[in-house]
Parts: sequence; C-alpha cells; structure tokens
Amino acid sequence: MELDREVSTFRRVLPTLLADPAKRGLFALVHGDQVAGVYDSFDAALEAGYERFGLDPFLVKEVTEHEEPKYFPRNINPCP
Amino acid sequence: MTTDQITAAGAVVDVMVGVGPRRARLLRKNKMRVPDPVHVRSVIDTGAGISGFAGRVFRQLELPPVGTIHILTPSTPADQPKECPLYDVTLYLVAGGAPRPVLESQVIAAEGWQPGKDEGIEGLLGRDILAFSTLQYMGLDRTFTLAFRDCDPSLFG
Repeated sequence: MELDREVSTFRRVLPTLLADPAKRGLFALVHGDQVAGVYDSFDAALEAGYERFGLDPFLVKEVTEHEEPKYFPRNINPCP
Repeated sequence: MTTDQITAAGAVVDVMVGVGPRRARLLRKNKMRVPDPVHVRSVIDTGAGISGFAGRVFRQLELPPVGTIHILTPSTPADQPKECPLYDVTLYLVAGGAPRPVLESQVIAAEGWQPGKDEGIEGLLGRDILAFSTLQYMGLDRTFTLAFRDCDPSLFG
C-alpha cells in the first residue's frame, strides 16, 4: 500500500503521542520517518501537508487509541 | 439538485470525482496539468459509513492517498478491519448534464464492480457525503431527489 512508510512511522510514534493528553483526538501529519506536526482537524493537517510537502506523499492520521472502523457494504480488495 | 427514477439498483446518480481543491491549486501553481474529473455512476447507500469509488478513478486522477482508514465489509471479521487508503477528492453532482462541485471529501477505493452490468455502477455514496445533502426517497412514486447546498465553485480550486 502507498504510504506504508508513513503508516509504520505513525504506529511507531503513536504511544508517545498518546502519552500526551493534549494530543489525543488531534491529527498527526507524517512525512517519511517524521511526524511533522499535530493539528486540530484533518483539514488543517491536510492544508499543512500540501504547504510543507507539496506533491510528495504524506499521511494525516488521528491520534487515537481506538480507530472506529467504517462500514462499507462492498468488497474493497485489492486495496491499491 | 437531481431528481430521478428509482431503478432496480436503487437511487442511482451521476457524479464526477476530481482531485481535491488543495492538490488542484498546487498542480496549477507548479504549472502541471490538473486531471479532468472522472465520471462515476454511483448508488446512494445509507448503510455505508463512507463513500467509495472504483480504483480506476484514483488511477485516472493520478491521486495519491493522504490517509488511511479502517474498513469493515460484509466479508471482514468484525475484529479485523482492513486498513485502506483514503483519498481527498472534490465531488461533483451531475444534474441536467452539467457537473457542479458540491463538496470536498475523503473517500476510499473499492473493487468488485461489474463493468457493463449493474447499471454501470462503480461508486457508492455513503453517509459521509449524504450528511451534507437532503435526500428524499419516494418509494411509492419510484423517484428520489438528492440536493446539496449551493456553494462557491471557486472554493474547489
């Protein structure tokens, strides 16, 4: 999957982010091996991602212990 | 706003999916081509927590994901959701033959559509998008109406 590197980075740093109560529920901006910032909303993190990294890949992900899955009533394989 | 007949597949609408406004602005700033929005025949599904479109849409848009999301499908165990890429797009509703941008959203890629069958449906509009609309499903009349708020097209890049 695209963003594998960023997803690995996020998983690695998530315990550290969660350790700070002020960061819970916020949105992390991840580029490569680094968390580039934490923002109040998905939109704010997305805006910052395009500003800082342009057309390079980046990941926006909520800082949460449990991500509530969404239901999609169709097959999704294979994920591109 | 669009009003149409309810078909065997349900409430089916024509939408166009384009790159999100921020990426579109960035492409223009770098004097790069902004891919044309892709037409997708889609079915309204209030049972879906998120919207999704055929993978070909994102390939045509040359669109990288900006996030991931955990997804449950009819075939995934409830405790083993799949992590899927999330794409930032602009959604256009096609009404009267003209596409009009209605919102920016984050959606997933989904496969399993049957080209040439199922009324050509390759997309599903879920509650994430319907949350910004008014939907009337008039089963007795076999018609439905889907409307979004008017918004400034310049907001979409």
